[in-house]
Amino acid sequence: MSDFEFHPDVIGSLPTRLLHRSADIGHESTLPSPDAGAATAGARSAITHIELIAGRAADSLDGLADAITACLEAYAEVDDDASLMLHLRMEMAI
Amino acid sequence: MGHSMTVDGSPASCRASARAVRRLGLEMEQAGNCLARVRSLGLSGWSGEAAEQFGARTSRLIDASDTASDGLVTFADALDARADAIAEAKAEMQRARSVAAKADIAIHGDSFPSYGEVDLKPGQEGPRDHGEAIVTRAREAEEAANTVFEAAVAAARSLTWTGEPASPVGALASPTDHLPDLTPLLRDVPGTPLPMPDRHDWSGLSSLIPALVKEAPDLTRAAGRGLGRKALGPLKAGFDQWLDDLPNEDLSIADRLLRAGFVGGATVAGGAGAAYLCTQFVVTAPLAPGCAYVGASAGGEAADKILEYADAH
Repeated sequence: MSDFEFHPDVIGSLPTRLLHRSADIGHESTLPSPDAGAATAGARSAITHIELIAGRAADSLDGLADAITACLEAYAEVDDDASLMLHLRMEMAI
Repeated sequence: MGHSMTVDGSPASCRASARAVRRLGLEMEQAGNCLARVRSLGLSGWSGEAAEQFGARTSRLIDASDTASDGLVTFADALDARADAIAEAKAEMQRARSVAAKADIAIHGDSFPSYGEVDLKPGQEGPRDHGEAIVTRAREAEEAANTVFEAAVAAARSLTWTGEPASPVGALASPTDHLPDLTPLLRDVPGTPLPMPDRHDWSGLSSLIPALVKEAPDLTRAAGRGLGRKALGPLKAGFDQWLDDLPNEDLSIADRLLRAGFVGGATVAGGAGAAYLCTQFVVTAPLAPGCAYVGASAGGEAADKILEYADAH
């Protein structure tokens, strides 16, 4: 038999955790620009860049959550079909 | 010309920005911790190729989160240091003003007077020199701090998010990409008709006919596997036909043999054909035995109908 193993009851809790964490990052990703004197322009540019990084991080967490959800859905679909065919084959064997 | 005592920048503004950046850095750290838990928990209930990709992708995100967190906290520290430097420079300029005020040296605007700009009375030269030295040192310190801060700004602007490739969803975007991971599970259990890009499209079935003929011996064996204990199915189908034909006294023995053979042969051909078609698709391949059984039944039924039609006409 294959070494494939997938427990949807365990995996199913993961997307929510990731989405919560993504939301937390989103809440903190709007940053005030500092008045840093002579370096103000550079500092503001850095802040804008950091906001971009935070957005990508949140997107990554969302993306992973979506991917896991897609895996769960794929597994559920296959599992339904497999159960049906297993039933039919057992019925044939009996 | 006097020495400017103007110090640009707002310590409060820098500190507010530092707090926000630090909070974001801590959120990134929390994200890394969350991802580590997600990876650990996920891999406790998931194994196989997709699970390995999940682990690798999560690990990339953990590393990226840690790197980003470190970078943000470092930048927050730099913003705080910048706030301190601005505050210290402002304080030093204020101290220079106090030195001048105590010596009754007139200050016009934000410029500390140089020699010649103001008429100094006896006893004012020492305090003026002292004040000028304070302003000069404060300005040098501020410039040095500014250089350090600009380096921190450059480092912050060079931060990158290394956790994800260009695709927003990434390697796990398409579950069908990882069907090989799922199909072993279905080796003994028929699967689901999901699209498989590396196999024939249904529109190409006509091209399979020559191969079907060529591989007839193998197909017969495949049908045999599919029929399993029902390997005698074709014989039984032929025998059933023989029994059906018994009442028909018009048939010769040769006719009866031909008709029974036709039904039995159609049963074998149907089973073999269906089994072969099933083997051409990854998802249906595990179904080959079942396909053979269904195909054999269909072949036998079709032969019956053909004989009925021939008899009627």
